[in-house]
Amino acid sequence: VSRNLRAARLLGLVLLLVLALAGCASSSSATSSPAAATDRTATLAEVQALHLCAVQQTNFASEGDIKDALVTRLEARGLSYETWRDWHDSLAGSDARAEQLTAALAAPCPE
Amino acid sequence: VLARRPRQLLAAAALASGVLTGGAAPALAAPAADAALLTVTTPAMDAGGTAWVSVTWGADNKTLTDFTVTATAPAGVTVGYPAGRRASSLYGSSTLVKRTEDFTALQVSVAYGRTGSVVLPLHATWSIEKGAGKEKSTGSLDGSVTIPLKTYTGPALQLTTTSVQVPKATPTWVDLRVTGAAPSLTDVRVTVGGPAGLVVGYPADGAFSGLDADALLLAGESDRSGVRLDASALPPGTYPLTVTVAYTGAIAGTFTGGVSLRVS
Repeated sequence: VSRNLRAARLLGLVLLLVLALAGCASSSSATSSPAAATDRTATLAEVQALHLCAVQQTNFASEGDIKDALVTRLEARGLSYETWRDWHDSLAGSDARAEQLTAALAAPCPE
Repeated sequence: VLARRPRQLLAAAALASGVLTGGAAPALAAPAADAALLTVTTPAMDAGGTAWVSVTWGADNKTLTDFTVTATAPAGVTVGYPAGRRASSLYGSSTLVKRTEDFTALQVSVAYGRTGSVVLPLHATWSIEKGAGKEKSTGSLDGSVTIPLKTYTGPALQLTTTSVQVPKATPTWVDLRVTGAAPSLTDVRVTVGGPAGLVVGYPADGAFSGLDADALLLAGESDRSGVRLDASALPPGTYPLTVTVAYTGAIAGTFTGGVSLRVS
């Protein structure tokens, strides 16, 4: 009985491990898939377009305030300024990202 | 203010001329519309104030590199560029990617007394790389933006310190903090009045205390002024103090506020 119990426990642990690994793999693919990356660059394009709206509608007291406004907008979407910089630097070399920005810029600014 | 942003503006706005540096252009070719200045009017700013204003540029079907912008400041206006440079570019880079837009930030200061608006002439230049051969053409654009001016109305500053505490036994320096509200105040001088028996001292045995950083207080800037309070003649308790802030310059006047003094 004891041997059977140990075997059952071992089997249960193996099953749990398999399920956990499957979950990790699933989670990983959800954040790094091409679709997710496209969503993220589309979000960055949208943030950039909204930032352009903001600077057209507001003067700023300091140079740092312009960056702060962008950072606030990025963080509200769960994005960092460094991510934005990388994205911005990549625009010239990526027609797809540039087109995402073009599309985002076509939307009217919020009032 | 440009609400946004019809792409057609690129064709309609006054545009840029592309100048080939590496080859012969047809003699009567129409200038290429590589870029456009999309901002016509910026948000208004206070006369006498300083603000960072933004102007938006759009690129047509070519990516523009080495994008550089300079402004010609009219009389009574000064223009500064990011990080103290002698020219500005775009936010985050000097490349304006084809069929996108980006902006240039300029620090504009306008003298007191100006009314109406400021027309700020701008000159933009850029390069266009032509394929892998690294041959480049250059282009430029001259335009202007209008900055409406408004006259500041409201309190000149705020006294942000509400209470101070000093021991009865020992004369003590206390900080009084002020925050500017008017565009800029110069030669700021702080004096304090209090109950009979309170002895107020100022730096260098002077008749007033200046600000810690400098004598200039800009809108939104916080600074402090130190005064020495000798309460040895007062019984422990709480007393009202009157803080007077005088300022001169283009806006001259006096601000009076109250602070609570606790003697322990």
